[in-house]
Amino acid sequence: MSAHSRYVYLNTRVSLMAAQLLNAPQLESMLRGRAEDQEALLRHAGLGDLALDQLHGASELESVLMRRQLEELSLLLRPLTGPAREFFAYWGRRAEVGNLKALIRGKLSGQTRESIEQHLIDIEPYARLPVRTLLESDDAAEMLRRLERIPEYAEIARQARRIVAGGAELFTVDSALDRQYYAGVHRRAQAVPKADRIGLLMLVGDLLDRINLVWLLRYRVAYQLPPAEAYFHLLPGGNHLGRTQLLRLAQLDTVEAVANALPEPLKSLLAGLQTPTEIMGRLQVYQWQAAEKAIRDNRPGLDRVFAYLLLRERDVRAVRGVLYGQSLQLGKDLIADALNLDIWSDPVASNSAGALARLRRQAHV
Amino acid sequence: MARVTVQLLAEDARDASLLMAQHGAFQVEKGDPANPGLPDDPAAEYRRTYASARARLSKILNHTTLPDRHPPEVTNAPNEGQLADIDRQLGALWQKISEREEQVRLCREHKQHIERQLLSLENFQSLKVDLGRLRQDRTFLDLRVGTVPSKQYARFEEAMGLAGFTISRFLESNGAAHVILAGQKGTVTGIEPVLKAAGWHALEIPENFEDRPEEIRSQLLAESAQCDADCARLQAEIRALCQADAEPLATAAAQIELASPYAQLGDGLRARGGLALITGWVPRSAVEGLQAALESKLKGPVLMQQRHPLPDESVPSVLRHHRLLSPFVRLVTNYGVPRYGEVDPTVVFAVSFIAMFGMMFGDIGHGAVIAIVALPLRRRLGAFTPFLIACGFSSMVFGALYGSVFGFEEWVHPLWISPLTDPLLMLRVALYWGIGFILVASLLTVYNQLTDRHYLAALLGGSGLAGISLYLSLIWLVYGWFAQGRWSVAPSLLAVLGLIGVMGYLWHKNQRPLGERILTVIIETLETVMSYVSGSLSFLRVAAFSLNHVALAAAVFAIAEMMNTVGHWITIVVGNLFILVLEGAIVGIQVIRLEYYEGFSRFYHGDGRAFRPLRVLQSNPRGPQSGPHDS
Repeated sequence: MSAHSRYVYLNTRVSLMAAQLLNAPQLESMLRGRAEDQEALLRHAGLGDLALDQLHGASELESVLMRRQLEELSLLLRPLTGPAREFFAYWGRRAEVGNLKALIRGKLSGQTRESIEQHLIDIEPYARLPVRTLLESDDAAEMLRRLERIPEYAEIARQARRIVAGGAELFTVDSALDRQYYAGVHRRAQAVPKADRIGLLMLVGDLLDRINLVWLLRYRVAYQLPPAEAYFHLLPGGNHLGRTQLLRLAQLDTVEAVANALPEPLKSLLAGLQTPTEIMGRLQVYQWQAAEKAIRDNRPGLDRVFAYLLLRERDVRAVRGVLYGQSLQLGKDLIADALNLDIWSDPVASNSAGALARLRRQAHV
Repeated sequence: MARVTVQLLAEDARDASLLMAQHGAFQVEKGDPANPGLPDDPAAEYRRTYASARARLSKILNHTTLPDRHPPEVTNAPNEGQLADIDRQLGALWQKISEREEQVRLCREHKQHIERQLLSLENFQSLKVDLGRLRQDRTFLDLRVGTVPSKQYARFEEAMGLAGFTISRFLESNGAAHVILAGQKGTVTGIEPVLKAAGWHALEIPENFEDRPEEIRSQLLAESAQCDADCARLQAEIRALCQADAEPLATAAAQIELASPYAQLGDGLRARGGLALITGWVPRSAVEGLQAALESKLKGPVLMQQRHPLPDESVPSVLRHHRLLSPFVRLVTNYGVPRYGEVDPTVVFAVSFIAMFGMMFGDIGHGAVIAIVALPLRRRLGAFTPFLIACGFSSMVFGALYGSVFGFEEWVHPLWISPLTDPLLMLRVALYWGIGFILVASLLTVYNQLTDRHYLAALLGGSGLAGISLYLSLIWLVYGWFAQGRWSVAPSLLAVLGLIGVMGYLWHKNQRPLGERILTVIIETLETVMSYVSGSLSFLRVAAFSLNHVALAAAVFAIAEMMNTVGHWITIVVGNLFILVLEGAIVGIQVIRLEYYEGFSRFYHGDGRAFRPLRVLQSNPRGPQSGPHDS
């Protein structure tokens, strides 16, 4: 059975859902336009029924938007079975990673239950982490004992315990959680049958490249960790940054040196950029452009679904930023800066994404 | 159902909530849209303290049990200060237990480390390595022995390589890689953080291990046994702590239970100054009783106002049935909770389910087995015991009508008919049953539409009176054709009138462009007619299964006939078991299918919400659970 017939429902769903994605001018209009324009664009984005006046604070807004994304994900999961379903279901658990970080951080720093709750995203009924049980712990040691009983998080609990004992930095728990999560994403993408995973693995590989490069710069340049430690926190498995490349890059300690040592096409893509923030922005846009390309190509497959989810997350984050910024009565320019609106249509990333897509298509043919 | 607003003194709100919970007829609902509320939430702190105390109690009760009876002195809900005291006491007790739980964990971790050490040492011994040299502190060489989680080994090895260290894995056990690390001392930095991040456990090589390996081994085993003993001692200490505090614990549990109604009021309780408002739903029949209870038992004045539900208000539905009907309630609510005012189909469902099960699986023997087996399994089956017994009896009744005992048709004379002797009659009866079932479902639809004030739909809708007259006239026409060989005028006229009514209603309902409107009306009319026809024919399966039962038994007997005496009876028993389990399950599924799709889908919205009255929440009726490190 061809991908066309296997994914006919999924492809139609994604096409319908993709119609609600936003572009840069629309987001500008949502930010700077009249209230009616904003309402119209929210309706266009499928978020018109948000009861904004009944939401209290960023956490509640984020919870509502996250649940909306999970509802869409559950629609997309319906026709999927086996490893493909497992991959997308696992992708939906990102919010739990954030919740677990907030829980561990909060308990380790002795915050009250109410204070920790403010940082949690309520994703019931999609949650699998027993957040309530963990919150009910009286102290960090008790919470870590409870966490250790969940096989998936046993090692994270032990890592956090080393922090309590003064033997590790707080960021190592965040790093371990992120690494574990993205390793799970990569493993599950590889488990998808070969015929369906080529495009998907490309998008996942781009994601891992971006994450690895950002982490590498953070650990080596910002935190100034030694090469061995920085490398240990990375996650080999991207499209362009494999073990060999990461081992080599981990020994460099400036943005310039790292940028010069990158393999193509990353080297050309990031040429001339000076700061980690610029690099993060360019890579992010590059990934969005690749995802938009996958949507536009209209070739049925799992990569289209994943591309939609990546772009939907981008939009939801942007909408949340606009709405929350406005609720705090921040200036429009400030909100635009915070959202990095100027990078949404970065031409360099766009060109690179297009060129790379052509190369991949040729390689695939 | 009445929307109720109770005005009372704020100091009485706690007692009022307890009375409401004990009365069992008050569902809390956030502020009344028809009445302006009060701005303050007086129970916010109480709720927080309650949640904390209840969580602590629940954790403690994982290690002990409460006496069956409440302490008699506890009759009132605690006030905020008393609840805070209870929370503090429970916190102090839990702190002691938690410290011991942590020590138990450390003991187990230490034991695991000893086991790894023993494994490593045994491995070294077999390798004939000079262990003294491994242990020695050297000027230039940094040599370490330890374990890392196997999952991390590959990355750990590469990271160590970056730090200039050589690594050698010599053993794998229980998800840990046992390794030797070697590198130049003092010239490299950064391996300590990597070791910590990777979960490195250093393994010590005891002095004189080479000379006295058995002695060292015995020492380590003794240390491991000591860990077990320490764990057991700590567990005993936890139990002793709970026993020592058994009485205050029981009192605290009772007080927390009594505090639960006030903590559950949530947004249903608002206050300003000394005045409080509690809002919710009360069944009309229970309003007077609740009012009397509040007025007689509260110290201050109480004013209780009630009103009818507003047209678009979401009103909870009360589902009260005899406990014998509880399995049927579950099957009905599995489809959906009746909307407020909608017919609760539980009784109709129960009667028709039991009857259809018997019709499709009529056998005295099999029915008796189902009913008898349900008795010893009643603990496991719980509320479903009477359900199985009823199905068994129904099967026996129809078995007597069909004259079937374990498939043998010659043992008892049928009170009515043996199905295979006249299959057409069986099919006719099943069709009549189906027509009756659909008519009842359609009349219930009309009733529901009238209560929803959808008068036009009740009169002219496809499931309304026009649809019913169309259905009946079609039956009349078909019956006339088969019985007399001609179309009658009266049913034809009735059918045309019904059709006009249904199409007219659909025309009125579908306000669309002309072409689309015509198409929609034609398709929906066709769908209405087809739904009646296919629904009626669907009930032929009732007869088909009764025939199937006899046919299956005949097949079993035919196979048994080919065997010798022992084989004959073994085949009969196994064949009957096969029929009982497989056919019984299929019949059960088919009956549910008929109920849901031919019955419920016609008249039942099932999009209501159940009435959930305020209750006193039990502290922990389950008793002790396995402790966190008991496994």
